[in-house]
Amino acid sequence: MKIPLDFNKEGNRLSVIATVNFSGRCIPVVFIVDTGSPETFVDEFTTSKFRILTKNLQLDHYMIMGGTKIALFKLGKVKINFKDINGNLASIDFSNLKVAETAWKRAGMIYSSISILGLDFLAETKLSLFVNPSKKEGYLTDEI
Amino acid sequence: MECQKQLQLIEKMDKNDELVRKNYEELQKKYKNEFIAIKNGKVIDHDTEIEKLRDRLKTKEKDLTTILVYFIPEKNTVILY
Repeated sequence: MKIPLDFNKEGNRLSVIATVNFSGRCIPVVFIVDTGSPETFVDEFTTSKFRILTKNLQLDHYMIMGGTKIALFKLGKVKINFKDINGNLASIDFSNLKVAETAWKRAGMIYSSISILGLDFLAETKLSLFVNPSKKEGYLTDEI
Repeated sequence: MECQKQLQLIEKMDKNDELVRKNYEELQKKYKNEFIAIKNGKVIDHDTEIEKLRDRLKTKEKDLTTILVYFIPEKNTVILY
């Protein structure tokens, strides 16, 4: 299995689009791939479109990201679906997805809510990350 | 949900994300320090305040599923996640 990742034009952002299946809902998410993050989470703005709000979820713990303290709430077991290199759906179980509390402020000051695919996802799913920024090539794979 | 529908959702989102990936400089010139909402690969609304943008989207749009909202910082600003 090989899941291609997207580089932005500047080559400084690596992302992947997925759908998250949770409780009968199918939530499209743009994940930033960040091996510096110990956590995988979806931002509340995304989940709120599906009436999944942090006020209804159990607080897991806090995280400080870019100097901003953000609460993470348990969403739990989900299926995350990606489009693989052949255009087929690759469905992967993940046991511990969280929702990050929205920390919206006025534009230009803080925008800290984002969805992150962290190292915990790679560890649990036993996927490897290959990145070659100079060629703007990146993918997740179980073949290494 | 069927596989095909999930793939269609991913493809729709990819089209929206692609607009940002490929046109970042142009977007920065037009919408610096604003939040933009993207649907079907086009910017459909923008605002300096996310709450106002979100409220307008809720009123105007029937389906928010694949609408992407991004913050576009001014030039020489990198977002560190």
